[in-house]
Amino acid sequence: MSKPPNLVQGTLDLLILKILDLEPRSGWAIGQRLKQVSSDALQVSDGSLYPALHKLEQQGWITAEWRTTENNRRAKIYSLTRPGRRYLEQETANWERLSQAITHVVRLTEA
Amino acid sequence: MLFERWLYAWRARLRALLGGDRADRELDDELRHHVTQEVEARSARGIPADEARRQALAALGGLAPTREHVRASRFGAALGEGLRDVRYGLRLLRRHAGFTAATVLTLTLAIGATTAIFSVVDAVLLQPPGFPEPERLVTLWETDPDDGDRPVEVSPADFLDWRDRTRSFEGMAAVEPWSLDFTGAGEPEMFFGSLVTEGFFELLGANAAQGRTFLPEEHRPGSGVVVLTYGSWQRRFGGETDIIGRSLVLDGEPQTVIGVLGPSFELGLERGRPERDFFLPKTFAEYEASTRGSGWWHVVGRLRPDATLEEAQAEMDVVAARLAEEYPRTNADVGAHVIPLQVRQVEAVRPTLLLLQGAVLFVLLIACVNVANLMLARCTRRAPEFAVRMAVGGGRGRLLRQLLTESAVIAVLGGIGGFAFATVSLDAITAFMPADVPRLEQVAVNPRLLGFAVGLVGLTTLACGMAPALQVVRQNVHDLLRGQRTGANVVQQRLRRSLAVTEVALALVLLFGAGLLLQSFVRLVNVDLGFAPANTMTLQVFHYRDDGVAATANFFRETLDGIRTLPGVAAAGAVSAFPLGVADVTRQSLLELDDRPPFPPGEEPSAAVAAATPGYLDALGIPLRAGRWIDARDDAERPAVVVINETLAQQHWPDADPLGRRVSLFVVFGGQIDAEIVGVVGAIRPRGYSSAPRAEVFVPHAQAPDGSMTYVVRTAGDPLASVPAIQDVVWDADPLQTFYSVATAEQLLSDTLAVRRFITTLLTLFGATALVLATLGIYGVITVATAQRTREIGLRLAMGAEPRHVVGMVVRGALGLAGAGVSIGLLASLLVSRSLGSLLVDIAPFDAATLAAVSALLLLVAAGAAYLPARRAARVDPLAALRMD
Repeated sequence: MSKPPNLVQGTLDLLILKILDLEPRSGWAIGQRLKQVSSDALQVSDGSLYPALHKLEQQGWITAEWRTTENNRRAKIYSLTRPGRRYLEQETANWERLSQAITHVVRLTEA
Repeated sequence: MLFERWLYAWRARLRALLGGDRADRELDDELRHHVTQEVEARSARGIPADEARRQALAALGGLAPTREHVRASRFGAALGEGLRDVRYGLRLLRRHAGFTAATVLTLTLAIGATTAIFSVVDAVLLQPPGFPEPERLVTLWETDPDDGDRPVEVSPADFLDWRDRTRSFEGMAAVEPWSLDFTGAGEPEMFFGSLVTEGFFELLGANAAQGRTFLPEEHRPGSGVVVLTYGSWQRRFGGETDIIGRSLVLDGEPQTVIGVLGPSFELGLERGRPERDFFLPKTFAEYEASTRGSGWWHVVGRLRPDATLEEAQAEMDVVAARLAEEYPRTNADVGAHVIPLQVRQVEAVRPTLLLLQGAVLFVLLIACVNVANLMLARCTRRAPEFAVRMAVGGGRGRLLRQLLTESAVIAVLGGIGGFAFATVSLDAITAFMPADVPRLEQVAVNPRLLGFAVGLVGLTTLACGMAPALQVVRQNVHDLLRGQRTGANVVQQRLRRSLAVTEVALALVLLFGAGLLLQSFVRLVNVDLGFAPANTMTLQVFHYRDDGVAATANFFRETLDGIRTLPGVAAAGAVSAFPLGVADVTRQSLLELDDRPPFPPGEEPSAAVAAATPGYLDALGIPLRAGRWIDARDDAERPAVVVINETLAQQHWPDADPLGRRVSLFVVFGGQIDAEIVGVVGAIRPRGYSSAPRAEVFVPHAQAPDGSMTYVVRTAGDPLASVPAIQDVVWDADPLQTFYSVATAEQLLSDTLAVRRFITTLLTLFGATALVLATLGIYGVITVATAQRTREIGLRLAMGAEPRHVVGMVVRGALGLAGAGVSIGLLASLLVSRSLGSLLVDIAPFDAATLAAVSALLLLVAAGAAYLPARRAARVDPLAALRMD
């Protein structure tokens, strides 16, 4: 069984922010969504999700509050802060530039 | 935007850091919710519940490890961000080293000085005595109707009646000051201590640190037990562990050491030599049960838990009134006074410490003003930088955050510096304080007070660092960029000018107080003492033996003859009541003068009477005015003679020659004598600088052989070097002789000034600090003010103004500020200087010359502080200045 590639440091943060950009979610829902959108190519262990969430919260990019969900459970729901949204835009732009550059370089060597 | 993020971040951090259990509980809830959801999802796929749960937990990596990971990342995030802020702040501060140094120095001085003084005040004045339930411990005193009902020591019979007739006290015990000759092991030494009545240690709640204290049955003659203080155990017995059970020879009797007290045992009832060496059980002598009227006992009591101080005092008033009725001859008008032990312990140093506390508050105030000024000045200077940053899109929040961090870093640096300074100055202060101040060795930097000082100055720093920044970010970027003097700017400049004025006013008050004290000190030490203290050694002894007065006279004659033959000794003599003696053994006598009709009762002249030997006059350097001094011929076989001092001569024979007149007086060890006046000597100040000369009569020691004498030895070189040889001469004559005190006359004199020197030095230091801070303040204001006027100055120069006119203009501006400060300070000084009261000698509290001098000093310093920025302004290139826009 081949191990899926480790997430580049900081990428998990970006993914979380992106998912929260769509709508506020609980930690579990974020994990579900992650697996779903990346088609299990990126394996994010549930264990590494929560430290990342709490770190982002302490950095002021996301905020959290306790809400009652539709199945009547109390859950901690994370949402993006305004600075977080700005940060996501910046980081997305950075990511695109970086990945284009890398793709470019990788293709160069192949040619 | 950054500010907003910062708010979110700190909210989350504070919740995580300060929420404690709640944050952990919420994390548990969150993880449990995750597992529940996961189990449900997996069950929905048909996995049995048990297996689903196992898988969910496995995917999470276990509950406990995840919890730890979250906690670690939370902590790391907070720490990382904080460190980054601090690093950033430090880098910025390094770039503005001058500003940083001035601010941190100000904070260091203020925090350090305030914390040190307040720590002393706290430990000495506010901490209770080191006994259980100290608030119930009191001291009891008789009052002296002849001396304004001053509290005085208690007579033995009154103590016994107080103890038996009162109900407000759980216990009452008497402490009788006592001294003993410790002999039989090394050099004989006089031990100072107390005899204590039954229940003394139990009343205090004090136990021995080693061994035990006295049993009730040991309060009888010949019980032969002694309790040592921690001090004497360390000093004389080197802290030897086998001290308990050892037999010591005290006053020729063997006494067994049954206990050693702990280092914190401190009663402090007696000034000067507080219960220094030992405690012995008191045994009542028969005569004591009827001795009233003159007291020498200290009395301590413990109030019943339900009794108040007022009730105890009321009861004592009743008992004292009853005793006055029963024993009118001795107790008429004698009251009783209940004083809490803590009050009694500190009442001597209280005014000193409160004065210093007031003074150091001034320093703290000046420092706050100074920091405010520096922070404001800095912001004004950086306004263009802020403007540029905002113009290119820098966030306001980011600016504020940066300023906040900088202010915080400065406050923390100042706090660290202040702590170091407080530690150093505390050592200096305690080393410098008069030695009988209670709890002095317990004084340490008090963390609560340090926190208070850091908090106060830190808040000032933050407030002054942020306020102008808030102003800046609210301003129009265009105005800022064009360097326009906006309204806010003018307000700020006005605020900073009034801060500088305040600083000068505060500094003036401190300097004026210090100036008055310094002058008092100088005047005191320049007072003519009437004798020459330099190169004079004094050794006080009590030589009471059972071999008769003739033997006492011989002992002193022989030892003095021996001392005079020692190399380096220029003169030697002895006197019974040495003017600066540690123990004041002055004896007064009424005088009858042969050439006067008898004086009506109550108006008889009196004088201090002392027995003196040949050589005393030369040894102390007292001048002979007329006739002769006592010489070797004046022995017991010859007619009685006396020498009087010029004060007495002036009182009774202002226009006549007292020589050859006869005077009748009472002398201890000589009885009532009728003697011829054979000489007149100069008057001296008996208790040092601040005392007034008094009428004195000297009788030849050979005709009144007192055993309480002080050797006075004038040496050619260092007087201390002669001590071993002098002691050897005395021990040759009596191997068991002890010395009550051994000190140079200069040391004894210096001791009389200890408190005054302490206050004067500290207040002078505070004044100097205030001067430095005020100078910094004026320099800062003028520098910024001239920088803002660069264009105007350039225009003036371009129009033909001379550079010296520019310098004059700037310096005049500074003098205006200082002048306003001085005027306010003068008014405040007049209010404050009264508090110096009795510390002032020979100088009015409103001394005009001192006021003028400190005012001139401040104005001069202000002009000097303005000169540098003025010179800089005058060298401005007019063209460059005009093109500045």
